[in-house]
Amino acid sequence: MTDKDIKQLMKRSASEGFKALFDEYWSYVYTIVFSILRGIGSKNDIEDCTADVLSDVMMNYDTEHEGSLKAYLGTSAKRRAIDMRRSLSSRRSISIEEDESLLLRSEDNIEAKAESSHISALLLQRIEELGEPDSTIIIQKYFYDRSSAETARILGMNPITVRSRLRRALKKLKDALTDLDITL
Amino acid sequence: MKRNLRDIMHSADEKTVERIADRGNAADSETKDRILSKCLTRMDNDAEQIEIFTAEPVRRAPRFAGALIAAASLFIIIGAVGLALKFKSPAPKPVDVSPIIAATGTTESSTGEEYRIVDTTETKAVSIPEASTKSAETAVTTVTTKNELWKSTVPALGDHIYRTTTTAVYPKTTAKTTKNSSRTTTARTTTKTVTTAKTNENRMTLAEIEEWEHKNVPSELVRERAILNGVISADSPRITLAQVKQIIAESSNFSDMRRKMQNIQPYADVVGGSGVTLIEYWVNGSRNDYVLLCPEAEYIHLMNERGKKAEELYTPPRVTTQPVTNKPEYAGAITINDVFELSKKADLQISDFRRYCSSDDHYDEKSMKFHVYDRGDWYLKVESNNSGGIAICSLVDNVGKHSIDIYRNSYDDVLNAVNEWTFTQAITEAPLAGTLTLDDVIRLHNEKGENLNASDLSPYTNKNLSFAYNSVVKYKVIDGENNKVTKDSNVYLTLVLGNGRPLITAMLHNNDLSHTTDMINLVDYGGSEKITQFDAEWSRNCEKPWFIE
Repeated sequence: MTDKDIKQLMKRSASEGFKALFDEYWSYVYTIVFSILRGIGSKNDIEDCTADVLSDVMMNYDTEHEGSLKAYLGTSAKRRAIDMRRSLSSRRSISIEEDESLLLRSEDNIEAKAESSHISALLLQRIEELGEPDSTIIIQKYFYDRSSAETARILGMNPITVRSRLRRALKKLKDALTDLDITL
Repeated sequence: MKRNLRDIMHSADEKTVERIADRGNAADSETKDRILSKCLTRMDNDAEQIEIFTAEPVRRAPRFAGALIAAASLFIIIGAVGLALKFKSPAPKPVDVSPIIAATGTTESSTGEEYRIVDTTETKAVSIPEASTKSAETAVTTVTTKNELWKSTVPALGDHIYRTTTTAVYPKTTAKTTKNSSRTTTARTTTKTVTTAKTNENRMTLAEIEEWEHKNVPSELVRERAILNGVISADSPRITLAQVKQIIAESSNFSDMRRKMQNIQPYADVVGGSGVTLIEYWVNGSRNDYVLLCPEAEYIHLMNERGKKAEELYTPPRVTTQPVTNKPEYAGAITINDVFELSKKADLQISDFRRYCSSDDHYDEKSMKFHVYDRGDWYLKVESNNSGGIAICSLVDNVGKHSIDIYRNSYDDVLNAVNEWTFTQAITEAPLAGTLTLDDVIRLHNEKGENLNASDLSPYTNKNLSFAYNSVVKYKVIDGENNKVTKDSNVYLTLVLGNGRPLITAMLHNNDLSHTTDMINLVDYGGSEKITQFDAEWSRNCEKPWFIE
């Protein structure tokens, strides 16, 4: 479903519009929020923040707005997750460096940042080259830190299959990453 | 410099995160449902806050007080004049009960980023009953409706400010009837308040309706939605159980009954069902007792609050037919190795299954089922499409309820699936060797680690069970003094014995193996050394292992 279709539905019927918006973008918003709140927020915090973003966009988004709904959601998700991270870190006394690293990076780090971006993009490309469901299993394991049982629930597979596929996928990935100096 | 896979993923840049986000599958369906529920709650709360917020400015706005007082005075004068003219007229005309819109007030309030317009329309209906000639009975009905146009300014991308106009429909209607009796002779006025609501039902909000429908998929609250959308009034009549019974007694067929019921209550309370349509009439206003209609099966039942059939009100007359053919359940028998051989064939045809049929009579090009006799209750189901090709060729594990299409999946995938099902089945059917506490499990793991042996569990093993006769044994894990097992499911420790060699695996798992934790096999989790899954789960920061309460 395109952004245009979702906006049309939001205009026509609040309930249908929200259903379409939620089905299309809940996973997208969740991932962005997760990447910012990882290690600071609990599972519940991440779910709360995701729900805040989606309900807020549903209530306040201007359906006449020509821009991309997805981009709007992405920006809203980032801002709200950063706000929540700040609020949580004030309670948990997170280091200032760690917090600020999300927002601003000094010019000295621009080169390192560019290299890091290049490496992460290249790594994701190699992972995606493994094909499905192996690439999803690796991402669930190393990006979302999920156990095989949790991944199995998401993919509708048996945990034992997930484990065996993970083992084989990592073996393949190890060979594919030798030139990048990345260890597993 | 060597970098670690996990570290790179955790510090991925925005573009990479976006690419991962685009892939979907961010979490399981339970998480999705929880987020959806939270969204609905938030939107519902916002709607309530809007109602409270908008009600106050109307009462408190002093700049409109004068205008409102003037409008009210004008209304009273017009009412009094109209009433006097009515009394003086020689013959009473037919009563017009349609409401006359007497005054409309609009207020606008602004609070920083958001402002809302509340358009309040007060409708006053003046009617005179036909029978009252000497003593005039005047019924004054006041209906207050609020239509809210909720507007807010939203800072969007970049520096531009966009104005958002969202029409939120949260109707709140209050109905009150005041009956004034004024007699021309005594001019004494008595005031009595009568509530006009015919039912004590609580109306649902859109969010509540959607939440209910979400919980009862696939069902739609048709009547409640019709009331919410203003199609029917909140006190429109419901069909009663007595009426249903009378209709059934007086009608000859189902469609006649349904039509008559629709005439009384055009909008059923619930319409749902998957495959067949299920229509509910909540005959006493709630789902405690309801009449259930199924147009496809043509029955009408009275159901109780648990959704169980309380009474069969109508069932169609039964027509007994003899089965046309007496086709056996299985066309033949097959071994699991035969299944593997078939899955290897690139151009599998329906005719390839002829050799596994018990006789030529059992061969059916359209549909056949073969018993996989070396795997208990497993079977292979083959069905052809219209052009004679294979449409379905599924191997089904009747114990674990798994299935895989051997025609569309590769041999490797079929082999993996069979191995998993066999393993799962072996664990599920393994004998219970004994019981030990979670404290014992943790102590054994700390003492033995990956060198855990079957003999280490001897103190907890039943005397009549011998490891020599079993390849898989399992122990029930119960609460210890220090560690309690999860209350959500049973926890077991299963050993896959090595027959003289070390254990193949020792695994904690729940009933259906949706949660498993290997205790002895070392896995590389991206750190400097390999660790067991058991240790990895203990060392996770965010959550406790699944088996701990």
